[in-house]
Amino acid sequence: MSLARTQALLARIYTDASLRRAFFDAPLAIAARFGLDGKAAETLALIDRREVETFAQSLLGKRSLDARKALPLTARLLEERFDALLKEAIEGPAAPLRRRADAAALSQRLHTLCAQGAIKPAWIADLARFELVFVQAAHPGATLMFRRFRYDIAPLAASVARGGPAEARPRTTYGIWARAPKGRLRWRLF
Amino acid sequence: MADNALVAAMDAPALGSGLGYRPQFRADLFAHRAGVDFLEIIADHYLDAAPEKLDELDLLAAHFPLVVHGLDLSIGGADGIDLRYLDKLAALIERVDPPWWSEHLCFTRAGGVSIGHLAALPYTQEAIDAVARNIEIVRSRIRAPLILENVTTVVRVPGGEMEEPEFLSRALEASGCGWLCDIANMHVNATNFGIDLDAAFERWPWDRLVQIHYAGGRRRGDLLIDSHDAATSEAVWALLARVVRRAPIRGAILERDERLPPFRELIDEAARARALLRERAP
Repeated sequence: MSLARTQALLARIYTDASLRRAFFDAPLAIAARFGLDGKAAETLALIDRREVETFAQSLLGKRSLDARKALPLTARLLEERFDALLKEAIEGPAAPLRRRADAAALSQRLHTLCAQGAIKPAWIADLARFELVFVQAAHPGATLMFRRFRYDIAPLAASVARGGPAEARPRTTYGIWARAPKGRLRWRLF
Repeated sequence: MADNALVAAMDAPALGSGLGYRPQFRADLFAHRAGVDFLEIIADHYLDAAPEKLDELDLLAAHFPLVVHGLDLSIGGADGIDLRYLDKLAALIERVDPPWWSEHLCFTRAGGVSIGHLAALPYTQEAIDAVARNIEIVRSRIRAPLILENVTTVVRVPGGEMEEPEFLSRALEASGCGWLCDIANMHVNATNFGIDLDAAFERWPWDRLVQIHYAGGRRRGDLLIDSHDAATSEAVWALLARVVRRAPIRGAILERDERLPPFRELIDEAARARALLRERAP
């Protein structure tokens, strides 16, 4: 029983920055809140803060690497801004289907920033949404998704993928992604 | 049944020197098929996978022997095994039918939280008991032999009752599993925590060795990180050579996840490992 409670607390302090700060400010109190008795709490209080911080940062780094693989064109264009924007978009432990959830969170963050005019180029949110659809459609079940883009997204994605110029012209574009159960994904922009 | 599983893994045909499969080098892989004896696939990449992804798996299986490597079973989790995840994993392993499969001696979830990576267990008997309990459940669904990998430790959980070699040995004994020895993880832990690997070498469970992982890492501050993003260091090669002399190995896998070099460099590393394995072969 002690192991289960210890692991539950460890999982939180590894993944939740605010709980981690609270734990190192008052380890015995936080351990007690997680049901650890006196001896187990005193033992866990000996944990090395630097090691925990290092591990927590490595978890964020891993989420960033995975998000970069989910949204490779967006990552290529955002360069070093990608990690900072992802950190703004995700908070606390990862959601189920982490890779998809983190990519969706970043896409939403970019949409908000673009709507506020707080990030350039303005079409970066469309590019992230375009990449995200393929991540969301990568499962074996039936899929039917529609998306509306403000920019001419297909030539932009193709150009960035080739290493060409990253330019998009405003043009309302609609997309449809469909998959029958156990079937192949089909998609079209128009 | 546990003993039978260990014997089956240790008696499996020797697979040679291979690569951890990454989709980024798929085309190069098929262009250099002769340089790769077998592949290790990441199980989690094929769970809930789209048909296109499963086609890739079938293509790999048609051309290479495969072993399966899991990431998120949380074999040391005191909460027990996620049965839905186990069902998906069992279906994948049945589809691939590998001579053995592997997981990490760690926990990745607890209290409803997914950590997202491999977290070290406390080196305690209670943790060993949890591992053995979980593996009994896993064996009720998956007949292929399971081997367990030693992990990189970033956080040393206080309250340990033993050191890592004894913890691993006792966990393997309690669960009846073979060992996937990650040479790079041994080197990283020894470097970061000032462990004398030479002095401790005979304490590791060489009699249960089945497979090897090796990889390169990099320094971040004063820590060595098991980042799988660089060529294998000479220190890891030296340790691998010593391990090969110490115990028979059924297969060696190079792990490279980031900063992929020209494929020729991966093939060269696999060839170097193959040469070491052949030095031992009768």
